[in-house]
Amino acid sequence: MRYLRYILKRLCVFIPLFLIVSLIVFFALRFSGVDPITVMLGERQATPEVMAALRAQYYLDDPLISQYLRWIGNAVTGDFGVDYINHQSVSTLIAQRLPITLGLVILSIVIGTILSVALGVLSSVREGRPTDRTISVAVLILVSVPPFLLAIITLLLLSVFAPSVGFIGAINSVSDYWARIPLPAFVLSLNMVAIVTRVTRSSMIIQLKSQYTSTALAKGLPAKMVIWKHAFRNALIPVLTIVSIFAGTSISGAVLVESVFSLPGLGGLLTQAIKTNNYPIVQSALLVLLLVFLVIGLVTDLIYAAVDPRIRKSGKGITA
Amino acid sequence: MSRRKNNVGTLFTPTVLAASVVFLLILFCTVCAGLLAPYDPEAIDLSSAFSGPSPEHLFGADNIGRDVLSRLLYGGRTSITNALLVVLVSVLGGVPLGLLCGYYGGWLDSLVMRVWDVILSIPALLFGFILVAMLGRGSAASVLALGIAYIPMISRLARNLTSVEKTKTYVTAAKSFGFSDARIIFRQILPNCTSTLFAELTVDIGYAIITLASLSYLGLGVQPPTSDWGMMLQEGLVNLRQMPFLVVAPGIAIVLTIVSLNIVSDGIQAYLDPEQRKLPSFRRYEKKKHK
Repeated sequence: MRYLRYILKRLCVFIPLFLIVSLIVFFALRFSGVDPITVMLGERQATPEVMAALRAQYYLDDPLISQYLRWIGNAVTGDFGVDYINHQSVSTLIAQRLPITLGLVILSIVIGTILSVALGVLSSVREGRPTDRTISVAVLILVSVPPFLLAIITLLLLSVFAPSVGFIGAINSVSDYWARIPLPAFVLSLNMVAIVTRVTRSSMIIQLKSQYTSTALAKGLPAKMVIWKHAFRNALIPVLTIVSIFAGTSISGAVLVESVFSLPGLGGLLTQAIKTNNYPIVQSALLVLLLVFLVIGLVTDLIYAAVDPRIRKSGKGITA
Repeated sequence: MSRRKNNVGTLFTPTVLAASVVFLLILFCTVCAGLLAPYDPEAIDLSSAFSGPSPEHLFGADNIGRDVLSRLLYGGRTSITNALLVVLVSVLGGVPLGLLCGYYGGWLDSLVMRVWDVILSIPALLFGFILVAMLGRGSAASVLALGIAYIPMISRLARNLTSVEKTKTYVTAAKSFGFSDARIIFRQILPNCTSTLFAELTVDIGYAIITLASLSYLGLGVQPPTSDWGMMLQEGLVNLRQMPFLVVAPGIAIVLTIVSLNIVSDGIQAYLDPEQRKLPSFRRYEKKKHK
């Protein structure tokens, strides 16, 4: 019951936050110096009548606030209108590309969490020994390498060791999807792995040195049980905090990793639209990416609360 | 910067010293690109395209025969200068605002901090996208966009530091002398915050280099003919199979710069934190005390 109330509370923060973010996205683009009409016309000549017709088609003569309300109102029902240049439905464009970005982000969070918890716990158990040292150095290097550089390095290694692996082309079937997503997701997760491993390690070391661990070991409990059931449960809180922070930033990493691995995801759509000033796509793609980001934050907050009863009671989340 | 008496422990541990030397070396080489580069970075020489390292081209030449070493130096100059400009924009915007919010508190403080809460809930690169879409593409726009995107972080840090500092005795003393608020904020409180701010800024330069490189890589940052490390990566990726070094060179340059900056920043933070500060051996400490 209390958990339910917590969920409601978080939703009460989530919805206004989403609306404010959508306001920022919409108005930032409207204050840019580029007139939508010149984008729509491109190189073509136009009579004032044609321009007036276009303005009417896109409701550009309405006050900004009513344009915003129309856009966000339709967006909630899943309709993002049509773009300025090819007059395609923005919703279709986004729907085609969203599964790739979403799959990439979610898979990378899952891989990242599992990998970093395993490495962090291993490192803490072997504190000061060669295993721990090796992991620490690897982690220090990984922290400093931006995700898109890691992706390029991966491509480089593949081109040397497995030149037959292809990355170009459309994704037409589910098997294509599963063949192309895991590797980029793994690469995307590495930055998160670097930081979460560090946090898991230091958090576990504190727990392993505390007295209840010695007591449990003295009672004769097997080390595995002490590590995972006793120490790890207590070490989990700071780990979850950092996971929830990094889960969100993996979205911006995804945009870059997609571009390196030539995956047809939202990132490519967005950058292409920014280059051509195709604002309906820019604002809708940004809105969707930010929504994914906020939802991930919400979900991790809820998991966090399920694990730590103190959060449930205070009603505060970690992200915003 | 007010000099802290440093009898015990030192900022310049061997690691930090080595990292600073590496960073200063990179900074020197790139700033003096005009003097050090053997060729014009844009000079095309098709006869030496894809040539490996040779006495004429120390790092070889790229797909249209441009000298890689010269491009690396000039590209680094663009990358590092732009990153420094990003940090400058964020400091000029963020620090005064943070100081004012921290010192006066009240409605200004709550308002600004709530706005920052919202902006910080947007990932920096996506916020950069919004601003680039608004301000247009190109070097100046991307620098300004990132500078603005970094303001919330810096001003929040400055604000938190100020709200701690303002309760200290020296501020009360300064008030009792009848100093003006401006003088207390900028001449008394600010110098006491600089070292922590500096540690944060060193990391931010690294982040700015990465994010700017990402933007140029995507074609949203610097525009040709100007080139930076991100642009070089993007060009190198196209020719990955013919000459992997075109990707490796800017990659190593970026990683080396950022690793050295991170180590320096870690060093400063460790030095500022008494619990982490590296202490000299007890014998050396005793010796110093008796001098």
